[in-house]
Amino acid sequence: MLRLNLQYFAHKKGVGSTKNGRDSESKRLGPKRADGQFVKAGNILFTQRGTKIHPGINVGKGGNDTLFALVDGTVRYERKGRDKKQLSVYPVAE
Amino acid sequence: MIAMIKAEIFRNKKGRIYGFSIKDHGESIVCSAVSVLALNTVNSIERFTDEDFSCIADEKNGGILRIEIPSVREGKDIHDIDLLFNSLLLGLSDIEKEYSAEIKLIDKNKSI
Repeated sequence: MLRLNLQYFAHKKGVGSTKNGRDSESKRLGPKRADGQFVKAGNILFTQRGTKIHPGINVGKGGNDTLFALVDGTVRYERKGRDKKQLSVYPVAE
Repeated sequence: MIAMIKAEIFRNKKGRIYGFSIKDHGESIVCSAVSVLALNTVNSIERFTDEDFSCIADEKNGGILRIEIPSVREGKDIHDIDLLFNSLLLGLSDIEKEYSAEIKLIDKNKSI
């Protein structure tokens, strides 16, 4: 039995040229260093849009909300207030 | 020029319809109407009659549908098939009356 396709005799307007199907390249946002990991000053710790995670101790925030280490040390993901998170770097004791 | 659907009716020596060919593309509502009439006729012949038939169809791209019933072409009279084809013809000719710019119905040896 043939499929009852109402478009059987219709123009296929631009078959395949759907309006959708575009997507920007994935920016691979998210954590770049794990909790407890040693980092050097300047290392990028977390890329994000908006402040999902806030800068904590010894961590700076770039123009595009990227978090980076201000000193050498160990990464710590911490709670900030009731429902927020922050990222800190604690220098390693000499 | 608006695209036009071409429908041709095939008749045997006794003037009975033994098949049809519909091709090309048309604009939305006319093509939907023709699509339903033609596809349903083929499906009805397959479902409600036992006659062998040859059918050319391009389900992916559409635009061509041809069916022939060899036994009727050779002169066999089968009421149900005659009824289904004439019902299709009635629908196509009524569409042609309303949308003559978009469908061309060819029924050559109609007057036998």
